[in-house]
Amino acid sequence: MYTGSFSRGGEALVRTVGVTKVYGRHVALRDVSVEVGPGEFVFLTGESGAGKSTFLRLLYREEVPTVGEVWVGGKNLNRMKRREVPFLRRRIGVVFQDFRLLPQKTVFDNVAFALQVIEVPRREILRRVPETLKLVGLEDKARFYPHQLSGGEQQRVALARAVVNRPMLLLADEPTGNLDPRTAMEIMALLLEVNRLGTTVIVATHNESIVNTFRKRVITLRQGAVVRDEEEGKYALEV
Amino acid sequence: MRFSTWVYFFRESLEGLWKNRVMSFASITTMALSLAVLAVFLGVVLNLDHLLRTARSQVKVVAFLKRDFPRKEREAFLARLSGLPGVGEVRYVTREEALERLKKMFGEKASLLEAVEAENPLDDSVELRLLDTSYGDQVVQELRSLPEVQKVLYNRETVSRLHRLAQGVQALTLVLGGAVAFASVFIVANAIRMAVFSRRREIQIMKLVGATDGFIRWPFLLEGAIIGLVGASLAAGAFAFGYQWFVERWASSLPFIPLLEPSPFLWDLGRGLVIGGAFLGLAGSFLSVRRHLHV
Repeated sequence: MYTGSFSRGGEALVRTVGVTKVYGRHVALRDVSVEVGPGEFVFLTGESGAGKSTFLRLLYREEVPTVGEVWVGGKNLNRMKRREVPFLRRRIGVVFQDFRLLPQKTVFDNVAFALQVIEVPRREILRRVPETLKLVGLEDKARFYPHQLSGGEQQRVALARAVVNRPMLLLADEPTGNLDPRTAMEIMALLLEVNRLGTTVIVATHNESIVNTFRKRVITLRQGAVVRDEEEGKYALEV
Repeated sequence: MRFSTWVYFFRESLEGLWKNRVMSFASITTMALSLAVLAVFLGVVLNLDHLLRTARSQVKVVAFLKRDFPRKEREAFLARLSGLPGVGEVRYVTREEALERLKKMFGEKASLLEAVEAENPLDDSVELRLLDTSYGDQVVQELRSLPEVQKVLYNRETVSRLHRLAQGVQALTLVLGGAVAFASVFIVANAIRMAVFSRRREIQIMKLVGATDGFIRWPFLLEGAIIGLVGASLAAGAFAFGYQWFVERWASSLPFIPLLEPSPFLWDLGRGLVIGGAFLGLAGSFLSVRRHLHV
């Protein structure tokens, strides 16, 4: 059975303090201070270029803030050493709009790859991959290659890969951007399932109907700044 | 790191080599060729050194005596010569003995000497070992002034000429070695750059799911080391065959110039080449990984 690692109560799992990120002359994030508790499900909304992706990238330390602090799982990522970064990422799952599967590997191997490269013993891999594929409903397609799958199925594989190591935090950057509405809903249902099992989930999206359907916490960015943060929010660009 | 991880690295590197097989083949061949050229030069250097050492251990003055030198006076004559300053051991060599030596040097081709055997053209001689080469000129002068002496040979000139030659070849080999090392590193670095590029997707995923930098780097480092190792092994093998062939030829045509015996020499040189090749490969991939693998 899949179980995410989390501890309810206590400190925030994600905390940013006055984060500003500047690329050259472009300000991607302005003074963003956000807290996400363990086990929460959060939508991050806003137009393209509002800073959603940048925000997520700060959380798995693909980027460091220009100003301000980023804390994840009790660690200050600003002060994190290079060699510690892989161990942070082992506790964070990430899925993208474009799936990023390895085309020459089967579904099984794509998911197993995430465990192989962090030296999980083979026996453990053989146990965990099938159960994760079952979670995302692809147990029958383990031997298929990505090009033999629909977009929705490919995103399920990516999701399986992101959660196979039981992360505390799952980041999804426009996970339904390439999918039709029905498939998008299915993926969202899976993300909720992962969340129900204990993983904190942050979904960056500009899909209005999804946000309105699920009634979760919504943080909205506009030109890099937080303009709204409310429980059970609706998607609304005008506040 | 776990053993299975090393198996994984090794498999990944072989897979990488196969994936870019044209590039791998080109790098291995180029590396083998340049190392083979280097091996030839090293072979020449080491043989010259060997020759020089042999010659040095034989630095001596040889005084050829006149035909009419009465052999019964030789003891007294030897005693006089060994009294000269700087002279160590002295030895009387009869013309018969000299001919025997010559025969031995020619080995299988001794039959060539049959023509001269009937009437031995050689003369009796005295060989003087010097305590120190600095006495050489003085001893030569003394000997020349003796009425019994017909001609004096002193092989120091030969030795110093050989020494200069050896130094020249050594310097050339050093320069060549540097060039070969540089080229090898460059070739491997380029091959690894391609390997990194063709695996960029995997690398991206590996970073994302938390593979350590070392884990991501090792297959590439191994790949470079394998290119170096295989290239060097080919070079060493080719050189060994060539050298053995050459030694056989040499022994039958120029038997009196000593070459290094193939047995310990080729093993030592081969081992050196293989280790050096692997090291150069590793160095090349290390540089490439540092530059192109932004982990």
